[in-house]
Amino acid sequence: MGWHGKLLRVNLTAGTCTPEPLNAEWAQTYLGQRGLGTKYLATEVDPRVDPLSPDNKLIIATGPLTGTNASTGGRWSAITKGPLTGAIACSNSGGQFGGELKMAGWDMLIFEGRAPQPVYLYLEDERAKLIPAENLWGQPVWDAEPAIKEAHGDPLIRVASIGPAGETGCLYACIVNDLHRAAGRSGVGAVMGSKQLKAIAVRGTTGVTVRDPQAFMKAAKAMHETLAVSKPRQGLSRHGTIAMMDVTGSYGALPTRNNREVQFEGADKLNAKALATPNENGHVNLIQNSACFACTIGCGRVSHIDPNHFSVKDKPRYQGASGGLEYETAYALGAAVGVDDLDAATYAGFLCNDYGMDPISLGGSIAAAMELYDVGAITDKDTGGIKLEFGNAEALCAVTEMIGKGEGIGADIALGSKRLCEKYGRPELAMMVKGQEFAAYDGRGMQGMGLAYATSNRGACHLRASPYAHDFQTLEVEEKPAMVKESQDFIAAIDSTGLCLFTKNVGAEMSHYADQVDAACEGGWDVDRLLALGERVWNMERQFNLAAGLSKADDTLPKRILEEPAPSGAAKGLTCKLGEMLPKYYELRGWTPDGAPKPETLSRLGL
Amino acid sequence: MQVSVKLVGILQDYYPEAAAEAADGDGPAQREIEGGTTVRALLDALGVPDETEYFIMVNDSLVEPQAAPARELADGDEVVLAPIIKGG
Repeated sequence: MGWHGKLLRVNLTAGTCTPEPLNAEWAQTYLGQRGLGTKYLATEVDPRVDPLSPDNKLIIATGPLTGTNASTGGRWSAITKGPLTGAIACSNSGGQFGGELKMAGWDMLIFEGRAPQPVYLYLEDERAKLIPAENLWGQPVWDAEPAIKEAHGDPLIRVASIGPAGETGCLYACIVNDLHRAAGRSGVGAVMGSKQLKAIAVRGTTGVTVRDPQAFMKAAKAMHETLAVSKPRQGLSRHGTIAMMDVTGSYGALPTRNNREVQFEGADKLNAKALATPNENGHVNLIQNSACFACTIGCGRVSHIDPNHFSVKDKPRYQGASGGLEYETAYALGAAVGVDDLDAATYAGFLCNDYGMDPISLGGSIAAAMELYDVGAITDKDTGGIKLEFGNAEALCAVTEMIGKGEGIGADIALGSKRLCEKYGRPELAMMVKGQEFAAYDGRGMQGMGLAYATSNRGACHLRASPYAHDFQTLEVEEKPAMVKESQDFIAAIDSTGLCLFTKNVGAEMSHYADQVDAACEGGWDVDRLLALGERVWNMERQFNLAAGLSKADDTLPKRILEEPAPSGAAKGLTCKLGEMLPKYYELRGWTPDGAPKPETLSRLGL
Repeated sequence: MQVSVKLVGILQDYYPEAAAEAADGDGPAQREIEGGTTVRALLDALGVPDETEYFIMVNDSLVEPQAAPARELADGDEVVLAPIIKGG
C-alpha cells in the first residue's frame, strides 16, 4: 500500500540481485525516498568510508506516493556519501524513471561493492539482471540511453545513467534520467561510476496500490485543484523556473562573476522573456514546456539552439530540441561566469545532460577558474591557450567540453571549486560550503539563504530550506533561524513522500501531503507526524555528517560572503550575518553550541 | 513631481493592467504624482493589490511591506515591483 514493501539489493562485486522485504518499521518512522534511503545508508555504511570506494553504497529510493497519480508523484532520490563533500548526498530527480521503477514493483535499489567490468541493471517488473556494459562505457548519455532501449527492443524502458563525467571521476558528475532530468548534486554520478555501474534500465507494468483508493483520489484531487488555480503554478508552467532571473536580479541576490557582484548587467538576455523572444535571426529558444511523471505543474522547458550559433555549427547532435534552461543553469552558465549568451548557456546545459554533470557546480567551478585566471593564478599555459575570462562565451563552451571528458584544465575544474582553488593557491576564491558550490542566490542579498547554505546537510544548497518569501521581504535576521529550521524540516518530510517540492512552492499545504500519505499508506499519518519525521531525518543526516568528520567549522561561508559587502541591490553594504544567526539556529535545533544534537533531542526524535 | 515605475517579470501576468501602465516599451513608465504620495498610495492608484506576491524596491533599496503606507516618494524616485517566487 503506497510502498510495495520490496527492495532489490544488488551486489556488484558478486554480480547478484537479491529481493528483500522493505523494513516496515523503518518505513513507519522514515516514510520513504530521502528519509528511508538515508536510514538505510546511515545504518549500513560507515560514515568515514571513502565515497569512491566499493564500501560506499548507492541507494535509489522512491517514496510511497511515487508512481501514483498524486500531482508530481514521480520523484526519486539517489542517496550515498558524496565525493564532492564527504557528507551525506541526497539528490532528487523527476522525469519518468522513478514512476516506472515503482510501477515495476520496487521501492528501493541498494547497490553495493564494485562490478569487475562495467554493467547495467535491467529490471522488467520483478525480473532483475546485471548485463555487461563494456560497449556502453564511455558513451555519453544521449547515446547510451537509446542504445539500451534498442538492445531490449522497447522504447518504453526508462533509463538512469552516467556519462563520461561520471566515468572519469568528475566530482560533481550526476545521474541523468530520461535524457535531460538529473539527480544533480554532490557527485552521485561519480559514485555510480566508481562502481562501474553504467545505467539502471526499468520497465514496469504492474502499478501501485493504495490503502484507501477513494480517500486517495479525494486527497489527490484536492491538491490538483489547489495547484490548478495557483498563480505561481501558472507562472512556472508558462515561464519555467527561469522566471526567477528577474527576481534576484531586481533584488540584488544574483551571484555574478563568482559572487563578486550581486546583479548582472546581462540578466535581460537570460531571463524568461529572452527565452521566448525571437533573436536577430528570428530564432526562438523556447519551444514548449514539459512535465514529469504525474506532474500537473510542467515547469520543464524544451528548447533548441539557433543553428547559426558558434556552439552548434557542424554539431547536429546539439541542434535538436532538448531540456532547456532552468534558472540555476542560466545563473551558473550565465551570471556566474559573466556570459550573457543564451545559446552558449543552453549549449553548455545540453553538454551537462549529455556528459552527466551538475550545471550548478560546473558553473561555480568555471567561475572560480575564471577568477583564478583573472588574478594570474591560472595562466594560458595551464589552459592550453584558452582565454578563460569572465564573459568569454567561447571559453565557457570549450572548457565545459573539456570538463565532461576530463581533459586538460577540464580535469582540474572537474574536481570542483574547492580543490581547484586549493591547487592554485587561492582557496578563499571557492564559492562553496562543505565543498559544494553555491546555487543561484547570494547569501548577502538573501540573509536566510546564507544561513541555509551554511547549515545544509549536503553542502551549499538552495533546496534544503525555503527562505525565499522571508528573504525577499526583509533583511532583518532575527526571525531567520526559526524560519530556516522550520522549512528544513518540512522539506525533509516532503522529500520523503515521492512528491516534488515545487508543489509546496506554489500553494500546497502540509495537510495535502498528510492526507495523501494517510490514504495511501498504513499507520495513520497527519501533519504533526510528517513534520516530526522531517526533523528526525534532518538530525539523522547531521549525525552521519558529524561521524564522517564534519563539524561546526564546516557550517560557514566563504570570506567573500562574510566580509565583502554586497556592492549593490537591497543588501548594498551588507555582509551575511551568519555569526548572529548560527548560534540561535543551533539552539532552536536543540543542538549544543558546537552544533551537535543534544542527547535529549536525539531521544525525543527516537534517534 | 515624477517617479518611474516598473512591474517586473511574472507580475506582468498577475497585474496586467498595472504592468501596462507601468511600462514604456521595455522600460519603466514615468508617472506624475503629487508631493506626499506614499509607495502604497502609488500602488493603489495603479491597481496593484496589497498582497504578498511581490516586493518593492525604491532606488534599488528594499521597502518592506509594512513600511509602504508611510514611505513618501520623492521626485525622480525609481520604483520597481518584482514577484516573490519561491525557488528551486
